[in-house]
Amino acid sequence: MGGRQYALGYALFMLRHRRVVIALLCVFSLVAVFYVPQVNLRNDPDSLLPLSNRYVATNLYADNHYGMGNLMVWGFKVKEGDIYQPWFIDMLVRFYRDASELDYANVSNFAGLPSPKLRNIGVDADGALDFGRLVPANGLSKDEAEIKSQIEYLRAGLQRHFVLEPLLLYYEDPDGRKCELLDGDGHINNDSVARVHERCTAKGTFIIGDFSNELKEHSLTWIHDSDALLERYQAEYGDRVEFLVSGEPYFLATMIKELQDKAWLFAISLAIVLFVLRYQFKHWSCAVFPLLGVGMTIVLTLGLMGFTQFRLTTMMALTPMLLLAIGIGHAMQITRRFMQELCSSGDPETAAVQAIQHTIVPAALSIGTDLHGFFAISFVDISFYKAYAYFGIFGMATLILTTTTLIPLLLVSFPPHVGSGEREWGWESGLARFVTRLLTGGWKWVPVALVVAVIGVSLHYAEITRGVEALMAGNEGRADPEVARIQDEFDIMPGVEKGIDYPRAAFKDHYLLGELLYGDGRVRPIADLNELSAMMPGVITANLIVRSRTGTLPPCGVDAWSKEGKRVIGPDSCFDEQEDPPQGIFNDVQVLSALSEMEDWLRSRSDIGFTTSYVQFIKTLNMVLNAPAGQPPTRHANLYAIPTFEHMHANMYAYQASSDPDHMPDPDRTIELYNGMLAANAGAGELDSFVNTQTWDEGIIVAFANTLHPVKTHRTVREIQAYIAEHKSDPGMAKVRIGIEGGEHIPVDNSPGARVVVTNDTIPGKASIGGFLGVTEATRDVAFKEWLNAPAMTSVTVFLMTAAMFRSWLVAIVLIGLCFVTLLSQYGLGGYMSSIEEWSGNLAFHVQVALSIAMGLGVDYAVYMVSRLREEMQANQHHWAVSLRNTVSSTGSAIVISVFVLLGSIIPLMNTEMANLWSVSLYIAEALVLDVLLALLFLPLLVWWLKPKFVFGRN
Amino acid sequence: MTSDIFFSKVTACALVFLGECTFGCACAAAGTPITGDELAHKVYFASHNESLRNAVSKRTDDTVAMVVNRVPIAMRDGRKPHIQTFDTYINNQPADQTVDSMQMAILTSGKAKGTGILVTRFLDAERGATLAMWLPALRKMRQINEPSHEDVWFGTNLTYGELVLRKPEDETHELIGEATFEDCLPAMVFQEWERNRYTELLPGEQCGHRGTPVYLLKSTTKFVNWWYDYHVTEIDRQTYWPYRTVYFKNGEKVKTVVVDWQSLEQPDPALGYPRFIYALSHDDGRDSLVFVPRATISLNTDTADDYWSVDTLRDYLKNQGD
Repeated sequence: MGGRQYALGYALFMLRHRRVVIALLCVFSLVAVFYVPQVNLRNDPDSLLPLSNRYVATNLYADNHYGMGNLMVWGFKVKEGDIYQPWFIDMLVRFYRDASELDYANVSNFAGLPSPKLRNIGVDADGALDFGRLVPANGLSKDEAEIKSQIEYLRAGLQRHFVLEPLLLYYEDPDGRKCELLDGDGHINNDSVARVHERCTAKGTFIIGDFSNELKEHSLTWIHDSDALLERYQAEYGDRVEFLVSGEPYFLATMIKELQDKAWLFAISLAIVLFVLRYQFKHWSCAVFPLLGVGMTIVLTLGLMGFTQFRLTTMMALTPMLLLAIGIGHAMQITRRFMQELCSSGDPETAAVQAIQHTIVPAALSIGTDLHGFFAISFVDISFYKAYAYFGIFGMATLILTTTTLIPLLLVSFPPHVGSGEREWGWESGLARFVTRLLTGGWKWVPVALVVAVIGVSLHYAEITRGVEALMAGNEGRADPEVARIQDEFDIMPGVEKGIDYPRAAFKDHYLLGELLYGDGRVRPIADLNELSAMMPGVITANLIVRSRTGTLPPCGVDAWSKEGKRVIGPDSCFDEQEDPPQGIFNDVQVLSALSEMEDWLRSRSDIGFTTSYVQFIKTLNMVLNAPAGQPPTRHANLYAIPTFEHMHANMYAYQASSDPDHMPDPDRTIELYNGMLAANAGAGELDSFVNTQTWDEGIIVAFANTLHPVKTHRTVREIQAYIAEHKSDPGMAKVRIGIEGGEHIPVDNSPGARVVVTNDTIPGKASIGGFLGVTEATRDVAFKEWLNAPAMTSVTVFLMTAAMFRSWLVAIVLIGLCFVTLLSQYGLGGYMSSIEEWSGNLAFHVQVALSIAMGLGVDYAVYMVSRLREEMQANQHHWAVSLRNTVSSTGSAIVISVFVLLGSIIPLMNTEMANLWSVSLYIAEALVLDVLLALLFLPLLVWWLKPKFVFGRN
Repeated sequence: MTSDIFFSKVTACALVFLGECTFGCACAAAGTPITGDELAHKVYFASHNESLRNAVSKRTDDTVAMVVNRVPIAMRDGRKPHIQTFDTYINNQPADQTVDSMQMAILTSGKAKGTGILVTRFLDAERGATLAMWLPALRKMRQINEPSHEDVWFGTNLTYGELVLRKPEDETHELIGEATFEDCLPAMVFQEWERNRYTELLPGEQCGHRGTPVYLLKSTTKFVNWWYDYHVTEIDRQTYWPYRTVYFKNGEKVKTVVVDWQSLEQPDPALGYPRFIYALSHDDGRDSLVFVPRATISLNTDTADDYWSVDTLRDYLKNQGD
C-alpha cells in the first residue's frame, strides 16, 4: 500500500500546483522550440561506426592523408552515336567547369575528359613525345576543321590511355552490352583494347568529383545547387543525353532533403492520431490534450538535440515518431482512466486524482522498461545508437510529466462535458467478451498455435537448423568455407544476413508514394546507381593503405650541418633529401613490383572492376620513356610494367642504351629517377592523392568493387585479406604492411591537437581495408558483434526491472518470454528479407537497433495488462473471467487503439524514399503489433496457467 | 577514388625553362608609354631581352640556384618544403643562323639528379622549340614536345604560359594609373620545423623597391574560360621590370606573383635578373619560390657553342666532379 500512498500524494501535490506545473512545462517547451532549428543533422556515416575499428580507422586515415573521401560521379550516356560529337564534348567541358565551381569542390581531384590531367601519351609528327591535353583547356575551337582535328586527337589519345580509358569511358556493343577493356585476367593490353575499339562504340563517359568534408555542414544548400546544375543540363540536353548521378555526398544530402521534402507526411500522421483520439474519447479536449502533451515531449527532445549539437543522422527522424507512438499509448491510458473516473464521480478533480493515482505506477514501470531498451544500446559504440539511447531516455522520461501528469491536469482545467451513460464504445465491451470467451474456452489453443506458428516460420527463415548443424560440425566440417564462417562468427542464424548494402540501406528502389503522386515510384539515387554500376568498372572503393614495416628517418633540420658546411648529424640519424640516397618503400623496385602484382591479382577478381595507384604512374612513365624513339609508346604495352631486373632482361631492346649496349639500367635508380621526375612535374600536393611525397614510404591502392551485394562484398574482403596473408613473406611484400593495425594512434582529422583514436583489433592477423568496401565490412563486423549482444543486454535489464517492479520472478519470466517470441519474429523477418534479397530490409546494423528498442517498448503492453489484471483480481474477489473481461475492456481496448496510433505514426517513416527509416520502423511496428497481440491473447493464458502470486495473491 | 593517373608531361617540359626567366634586360625608359599595349611590349622585352651573348647560373661552393615548393596549407603540417637545385646555361647568340637560342638546365640534387634538358629555339616563329632530355638512370635522350600555356612549371604554382609562352598579343592591356611602390616584396616564410640548411640560404622579404615609381597595368586575357580573367601588374617606370602581378578570377584574387628584379651591374644599368620569384595561390596557400643568387651567375663567358649539346648533359655531373 505504500506505493499507492505515494501515488496518491503525488496526485494531490500535482493537482494542488497544477497551474505552476502547466506553466513550467509550457515555458520549457517554448525554450526548447528555439533550439529545434539548431538540430545538427549531418547524416555523416563517418560518425556512425566506432573509429577504433580497424576498417574505419583505415578509411579515416586514407581520407585524412589522401583525400577523396566524398566522391561524386556524374554519368553521361549519348542516346545516338558516340561521345565524339562536338556538342557533347562542349557540354562535357561546360559541365566539368560548372561542377568544379560547386561549393566545397576539391578541383585538383576531379577527373573527366576535360581534366587538365588527362594527357596524350603519344608522339607528335616529329617523333617527340607528346603530352598535350586531350581536351583543350578552354574547350573546343570554333573553327570546324580545328574541331575535327581536336576530336580526333581526343579519340586517339583516349584509345591509347591504359589508365583512364577503362575508368572514364563506357563502351557498348551493337546489342547494347557493355564491352570490357580489361581481359579476363584483369590485364589491359593492345589486344584487349583493340578488340573493344573495333567492335564497340564509346557511348558514355563520367566526371568524378571530390568534395571537402565542409560539405557535410551545409548539405541542403549543396544538394540544391548540385540538383539545379543537373536539371539545367537535363533541360538542355535531356533529349540527346541520359544523365546519371551518384556518390556519397549526393546520397547523404539527398536523404536530408528527402526528409525536408516529405515533412508534410508528419502532419498527416498527427491528423490521423488526432482523429483516432477524438473517435475514441468523443471529446476534442481528450484528443487535443494527449497530442499536446506528447508534442511537448517531442519538442523538448528535439530542443535538447539542438542544444547539445549532437551529430545526428536522418535515422533520428525515428525518435520523434517513436515518442509520438509510445507517448500516445501512455496518454490514452491516463485519458481513458480519467474519463472512467469522471463518469463515476462527475468531479474532474476527483477523476484526476484517481486517474493519476492508479496510472502513475504502471506508467512509471512501463516507461522504466522503455528506458531499458534505450539504456542497453547506450553502451554500444555506435554514435547513432547512443543518440537513440540518450534522446530516447530523455524523451521517454518526460512522458511521465507530459502525459500521465499533465493530461489530467489540463482536463481538470478544461473538463469535457460528460453525458449520462457515457462510458465506453460497444466494440470495447464486445472485444472484452470475445477475448474472455476465447481465452477461457476451448479456442484458447488458437493463440497458442499462432505463437507456435510465428516461432516456426521465424526459425525457418532464420535457417537456425543450418546454423546449429554448422556449429556442431566441428573441425571436420570446416572444409566447407561456409561452415567455417558460421563457426568463426557464431552465426547461429545464417539465413539472416547481417551485412549491409549501403545504398539500399539508405534508399528503397521503389516507393509507393511516388507511384501514387507522380506515377513513377522509382527512386532516382538507386536507379542511377544501378545503371552506373553496369557502366562503370566499379562503384565502391576499396582502399589499401601501404606502409613500410621499418619506417624512415626524419628529415634533417638546420642543426644537421655545421656553419662550415660539415655534416654533424649523420645519414644514420636524419635524412637529407638533397644528399642522401632516397629512402622509403616507393623508391624500392621490389616493393613496387609486388604491389603491381597485387593490383593485377585484384583486377582479375570478378568483383573488382579496376584499380589505380601510384604504381600506374610508374608503369606509364616506364612505357613512355623506354619505347623506341619516334614510336608511339602504347605500341609497346609490354613496357607498361615496373622496371625490374627480370623485366628489363626480357625486354632488352627497350632498355639497352644505343651509346652503351652493355649497359642495363639499375632498377632502383630508374625508379628513383621516375619518382624525381614525377615529383618535379606534378603540382605541389598533386601526387599526394596516391603516395606520400614527403617520405615516399607510404601510399594507397584504390580498387573499385563492382558489387554491393552484402555476401559478395564480404567475400571480396576475405579474398583480399587471404591474398595479403599468403604473400606477406614474398619479396617486396615482406617490406610492407597493409592497413591500420591494432593499437595504433590515429588522429580523427588533420587539425592541430585533433582527438586521437586508439585502434582495437577485432580482426587479428587480417589486413584492414578502407574505402566504402572497408566501411561495409566494418559495418558487418559491428552487426555481428551486436546482433545477439544488444538484445541480450536489453533482455537482461528488462528482466531484472520487471522482476523488481512486480517482485515476482515468474512474472518477469513470462514477460521476457513474450519478448523473446517477438525478438525471434524479428530475426525471422530479417531472414525473410534476406531470402528475397531485399537489402533495404535485412538485419543490417542500423536495423538491429530496432531489436532493443522494440523489446523495451513492447513489454509496456504486458506491464499494463499484468498490472490491470492484478487490480481487477483484487477488485473482483479473484474472479478470473470477470477480471479478464474488465482488463481487456479497459486496458486492452486502449492497447488496440494504440496500435492504430502506432500505424498512423509510422506513416511518415514508411513513405519517404528512404529505406533506413522504412526498415527500422517496419521492424519496430512488426514487433509492437505482435507485442499487442501477445499481451492481449497470450499473456492472460500464461498468467492463468502459471498463476503468479503477483496477480493471484491475496495482498 | 579516381586516380590522378594522368601522366601529364615530364620534367623536361619544365626543367628547360629554368633558364627562361632567369635573365632579362630592360631597354632604358624612353618616356612615358602612351598606351597599355606599348607598356606591355616594353615589359615583355624587359623580361625576355636576349642582348646577352650567354649567361650561366652554376653552383659555386654552397651557393646554388633552387626552386622551393610547398603544398597547400591544409596538407602542410609536418611536411618539409620540396627543394630542387639546378644549374642553367643560356646561349642567346648561337653560331647557327637558324637558331634563336639554346638553353640547358641540369638538376643537381635529389632523385632526378643529373637529369638535363636542352632546348633549342628557332628564329622561324612557326617552328616550335625542340626539347631533348637526358635521363641519367636510363642513359637515354628523349625528345619531348613543348608544354602548353596552362601547364605547371616545374611543380610550382606558376604556369608555363606565365613564365615562357605568354606574349603581349595574348591579352588586352589598359594602363590604369601610376603610383609609388610602397610595399616590401614578400618571400617564403618558414616555420621552425620547415627549416633546413637550404632554406637558410633563401632570401627574406625585399624592401629595396619601396618608393619606386610604378605603372599599373591591367591585362585581360583573350583566352576564353581561362584560369584568370585579368591581372594587374606594378611595373618599374624606369626599367619596366614587373615587380608584382596579381591575378583575378570572378573578381577575386587567385594568385600573386612578385619578382625581385636586380641589376646585373652591367654598363646598361637596366640589365637585370630576377633574384627571386615568389608566387602565392590565394585559394589554398600553395606557394613557390625560385631563387637565383647573383654569385652563381656568370655573363658572356667564353663557352663554345658546342657546349650546348647532349654530350654535355650526359657527362655533366662527372665533369663537375660529382
